[in-house]
Amino acid sequence: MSKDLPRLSASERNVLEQLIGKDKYGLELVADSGDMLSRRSVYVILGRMEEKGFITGREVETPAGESGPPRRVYRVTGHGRRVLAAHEAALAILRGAR
Amino acid sequence: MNHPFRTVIIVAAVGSALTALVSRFSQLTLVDAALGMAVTTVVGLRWRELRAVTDVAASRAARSAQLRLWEPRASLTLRIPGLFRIIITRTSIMGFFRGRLALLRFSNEPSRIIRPPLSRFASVVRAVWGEKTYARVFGPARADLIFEWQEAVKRGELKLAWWIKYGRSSWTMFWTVLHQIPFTLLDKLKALFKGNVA
Repeated sequence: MSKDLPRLSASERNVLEQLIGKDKYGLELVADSGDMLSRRSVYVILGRMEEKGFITGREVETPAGESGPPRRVYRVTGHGRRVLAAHEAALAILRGAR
Repeated sequence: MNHPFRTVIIVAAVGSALTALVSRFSQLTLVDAALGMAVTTVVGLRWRELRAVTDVAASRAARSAQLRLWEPRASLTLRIPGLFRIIITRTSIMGFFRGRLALLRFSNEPSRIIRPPLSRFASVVRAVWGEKTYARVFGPARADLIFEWQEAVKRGELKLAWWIKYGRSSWTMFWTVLHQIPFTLLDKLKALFKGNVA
């Protein structure tokens, strides 16, 4: 693999694929992942992905009349989109080479 | 004669002072402080001092036995027949009456304030990992769990709410902490090798 292509684990790929369509909360990502993500590790994965610049998280204020800390909703960044596209292209080349 | 704990005390004190000094002038958190203290204490301790501590304890125990300050006895369960039965029966009866009494006393009281899940845990994690990691990893996990808990309470599913508060929250956070530890250590090591610590 090229040195410039950032590494992308299966879980990270799943997160990026889910976030391409719409912004989601951590719990939604787990529910829609089809057993690929678990709530035990998803927040650590999301934190790492934010550090790498694949996704951004913003805190959504709690609706009026409700209590609790603000929830964090995640969105894919341009860098994340490009990394996912590059990995898909690399996989397509590998599949074609077989 | 030197106090057997002398070296331990000196090493722990010097280690704590050094760690506090380094923490003061860098961006280190409580994890670094704890690691620093542990490392300096373990490295500073010598085998001879450790042996002295255990030898003193052993000699004191031998002396006590010699003076017949204590003598071996059978456990309470062997000496009092049916002890377990007595304890279980007594606890059950007392628990039942205490429960009835509490119901009578508090059934007409207005609802009490309930703590959301992980309220104590949050402050501990924030102190250990720092604000940035809390905001990125533990904060969102806690917020989602509280949201789930509130939804369950709103729907009147109190058993589920109880499970989310005491079972699922602890379980999720335990694993989140376990998953986070290697990354934290890795980041610290990277920072050390890049010379960013001081």
